[in-house]
Amino acid sequence: MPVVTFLGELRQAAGRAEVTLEADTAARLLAAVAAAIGPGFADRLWTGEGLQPDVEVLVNGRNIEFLDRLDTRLRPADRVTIFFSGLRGFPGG
Amino acid sequence: MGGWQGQILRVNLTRGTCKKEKLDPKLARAYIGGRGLGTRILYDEIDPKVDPLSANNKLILATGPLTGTNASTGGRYMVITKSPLTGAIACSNSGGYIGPEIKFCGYDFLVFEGRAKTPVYLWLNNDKVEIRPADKVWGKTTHETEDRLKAETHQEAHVCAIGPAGEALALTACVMNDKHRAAGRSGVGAVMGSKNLKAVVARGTQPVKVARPKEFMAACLAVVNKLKESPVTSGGLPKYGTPILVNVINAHGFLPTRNFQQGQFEGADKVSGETIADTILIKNKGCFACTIACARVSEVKEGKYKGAGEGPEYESDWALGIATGVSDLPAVTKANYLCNELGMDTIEAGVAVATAMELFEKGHIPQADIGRPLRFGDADALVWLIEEMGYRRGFGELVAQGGYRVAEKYGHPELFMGVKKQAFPAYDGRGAQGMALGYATSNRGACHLRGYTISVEVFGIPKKMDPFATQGKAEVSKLFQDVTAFVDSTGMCLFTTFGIGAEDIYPMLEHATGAGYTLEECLKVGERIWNLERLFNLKAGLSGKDDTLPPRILHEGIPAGPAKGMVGKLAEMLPEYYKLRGWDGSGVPTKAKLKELALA
Repeated sequence: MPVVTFLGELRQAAGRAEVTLEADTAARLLAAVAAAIGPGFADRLWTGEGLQPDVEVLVNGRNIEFLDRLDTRLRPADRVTIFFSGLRGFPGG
Repeated sequence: MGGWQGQILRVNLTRGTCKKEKLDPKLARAYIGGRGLGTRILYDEIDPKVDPLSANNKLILATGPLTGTNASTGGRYMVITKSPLTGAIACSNSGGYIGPEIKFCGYDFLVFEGRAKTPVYLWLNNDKVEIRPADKVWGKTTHETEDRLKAETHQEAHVCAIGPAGEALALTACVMNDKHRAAGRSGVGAVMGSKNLKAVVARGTQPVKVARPKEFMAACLAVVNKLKESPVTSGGLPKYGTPILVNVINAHGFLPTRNFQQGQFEGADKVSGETIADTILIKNKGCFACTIACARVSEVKEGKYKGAGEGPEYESDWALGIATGVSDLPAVTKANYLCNELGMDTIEAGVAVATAMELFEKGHIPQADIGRPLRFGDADALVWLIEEMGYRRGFGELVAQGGYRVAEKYGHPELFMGVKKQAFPAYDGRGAQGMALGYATSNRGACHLRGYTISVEVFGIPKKMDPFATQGKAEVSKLFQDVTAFVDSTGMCLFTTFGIGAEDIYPMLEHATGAGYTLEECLKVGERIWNLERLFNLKAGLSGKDDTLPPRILHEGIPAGPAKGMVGKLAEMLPEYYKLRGWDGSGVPTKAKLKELALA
């Protein structure tokens, strides 16, 4: 089953660093994550019409934006990373 | 005009004289201040071929028109000089309180010339100026120096100083201010040391007047509100600081590990922002007028690395930890504290250690030269070597000169990971092509603060761009480089651009100065500054041939992970970049471009 890793504020909101859930697409996995963790967390991920604009989802390190977005297919060994970018500009670390 | 105090203090250390000069308003308008105007002054006053550590080089402490005002984060100052590390233009930027305090003494710029016969410090007490002996603090750490000089002058004074590294002319030396803030890159601390200038101490009470107070405050409040609305500047940065990036970049597969030999670090989470927040973080802290407060006040409460201070920030965390393969957070934090106290750039120091580690592991440096094994992941070796470097003792004497000199000395300059002899920061350009181009073309050598394309390549702001793709990266690199030059010249912190853009900053600049700026003109000033820096470098002897990357980045694919097989595709981007810049195929600005920018 794919392993989901939460980073930053989403880790704190989820109350854990990782969760393992069964799903065959990114959309189904994110729905499963929201259901498993709770409604407050779901609101952080979803707008009602789609993903919150500041939520970034990686599948094996690649942003789903450059794969098949929410239709990205998942395999059991895949690693999914979710983080909250919220960035508005271009500074540095 | 407002914003500017209208005065430069010229300090001739050879003669021991100080002279006040009027700021040229036309020049100030054309270059704004800080990085822009400081570079213009340096360009006009020194021969770019000068030996950077000679008395003929100059050291400029520059503020911007928003430094010392109510503009959020308007507390920056810059140290501008010819770099002894790169031989190119140097401009290192820092926050804290010393920049505003210099303004409150009535000065926009301090220009240091010549070399004092014996160690001195400059004491600015409002409009009174004294060059004082620094014998009592020579050899002391930056923290001891600050404490002693405050006791000698005024407890509410602010101090910038070099540590033992700067005194010993280490090319990794920086200028520290307010104990924990650093004008870090390009070896500016060595230039200060070469002038026998230990510190600048300032205590002022003269406010910075603005041209249109009501409109200025309205523009400032609009910015504060935007920063409050941004999840990063109101939440993410204060809570986790910049080390939040450790796990993010690791997940993408371009977190440079063990001197760029890998793109992912198995110990990343142990030194991540999340772990720092859960373990050593005491509180966050802000600089002058800052509403973000990203600094990390930290403490290692027990064990052999016990201590207290500030950091690590992302870049320091990476260079001292991930680049060296060390996942022991207390050790990384201790190394960071040592860099601050001894006055060394954490990026340059960490990458220098990583370079030495790779050379040792590959058998290029005999153990006898070092005096002990120096393997990746050895926390004790890291902390030991950082201290040796700070005092330039033993093997540390060489490593304190930066990774390039270490790799060159042992016959393998190709193992130095940097550009123009300055070390890379914490993103592997093979996995983020925009960063590869930005590093190669940066006027001060490899740098993440000269065009942070991670914004589009990782965070999708203002649009998402595939980090592996080269298309469009030349255009975005140029834009970000120019905007950054503009922001750096105002006296604002670049971190505000997590929440606001140039369109929000320029109204503050305009109402502060009343100089008639437009947004378009501000961006043009940024481009002018970038080209002026380029002209300085060309006159110093650099050329388009220096706009390149190490062989590892160009030819060796990242060995595993999400970016497996990726190399830096510079050849696909550089010609387009030169064309967009209005430069010829050799990277030289055309006459038409220079005329357009009023540089001809």
